[in-house]
Amino acid sequence: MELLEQYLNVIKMYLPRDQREDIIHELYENLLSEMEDKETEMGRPLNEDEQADILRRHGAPQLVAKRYAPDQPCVAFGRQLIGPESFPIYIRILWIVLGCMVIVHASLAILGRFPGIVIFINSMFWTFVSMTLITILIDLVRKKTKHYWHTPSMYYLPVPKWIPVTGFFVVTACTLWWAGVPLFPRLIFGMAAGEMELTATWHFFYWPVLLLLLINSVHRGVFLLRPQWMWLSMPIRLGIYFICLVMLYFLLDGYPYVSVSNLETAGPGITGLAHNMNQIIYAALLIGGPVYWFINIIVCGWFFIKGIQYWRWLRQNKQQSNK
Amino acid sequence: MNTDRFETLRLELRRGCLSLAVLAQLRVEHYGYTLRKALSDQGLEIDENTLYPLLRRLETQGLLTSEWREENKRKKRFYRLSPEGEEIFGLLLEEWKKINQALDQIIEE
Repeated sequence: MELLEQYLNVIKMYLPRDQREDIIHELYENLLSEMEDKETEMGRPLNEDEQADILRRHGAPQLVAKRYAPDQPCVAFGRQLIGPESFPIYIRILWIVLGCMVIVHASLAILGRFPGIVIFINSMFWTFVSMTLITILIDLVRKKTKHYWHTPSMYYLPVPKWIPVTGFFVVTACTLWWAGVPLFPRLIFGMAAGEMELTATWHFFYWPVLLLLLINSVHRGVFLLRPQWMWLSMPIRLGIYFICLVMLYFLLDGYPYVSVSNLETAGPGITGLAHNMNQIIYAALLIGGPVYWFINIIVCGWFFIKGIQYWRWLRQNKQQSNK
Repeated sequence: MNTDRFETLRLELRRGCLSLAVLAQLRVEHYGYTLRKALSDQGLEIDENTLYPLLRRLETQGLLTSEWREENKRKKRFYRLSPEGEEIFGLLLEEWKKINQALDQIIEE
């Protein structure tokens, strides 16, 4: 009953913490009884499709969870911006990210490279704002997409459609942003664009980063249209993340990353800004980069292994049906 | 469309009836799945997604009591009507009969 456990695991994510175990245990027993009843009726164990049918009829995990917790907190100003299904995940990720930022700044302070309290508060504030806006956007896409329970095989976790859709748009937006940086330095430096520039480090790294982003964006677009090619997506992603990690290693040696265009005319404000930007980029590369890519490598590796199992399972099924 | 309007009204109509049916059926102890089957056997189809959360709501309101107990070597949560539930059920049943009677008369006119 691996499929049933996977299904319940997804529901669990959306349930209020204090009732989670109790509801899941009860649902498990009820659904298992239903499956056993069906097995008795048919006189044989249920195959995976038949199990999936029962679960699909039971409802999409988010909707099932919502029925148990109709009054969950959400973010609303006049209209609902972040729905109760996304709210717990939003809060969890927000805490993790803000916590990581505090750790980064504390580490910099210990190393004597603390960028200053204003920058610290600013970065926390903008992280909060951007994460909230991103979640609102994701929630908007999610609401427009039909909930569904995707079970081509027990080897795949259900992936709601809004996840690859959001991934594609975010990566494509990043690609366009990075591609536009040489033409519009304001995309990086804002109002200080005329007085600051990227250092020689980027003369070497700019094109590989753009190429990786492009590959990532195209591959996400392709798998959005052809979700059945998921098994091919994972090795490609693993390759991309691995190259990113190698590049990161060399990038860390490339400090500083931005510089003042003309030291003679630049005010102390600009010099300070360049210094702070360098510190933040370095800290992000040093801590955020490895954490992000390692997590992705583990997740993609897991999906890759499951993909191989799925492929084997498909082959076995084909052989059995040929017999 | 009319179908949507009908569906909304049908759901509204069923909502109260379902609670009454569940309370009636739980004069005898059941766990979620057997309760659904018992209701279905008597012609009242109710999907799991509605029934299981409804049981919890009724329990929170004090109309049902529940107990985790072992059956066939597996622990299941059994529900039954609480003393308060029995009282409320009696009142609701009376109300239901009155409405039904009145409705019959109105329709016959």
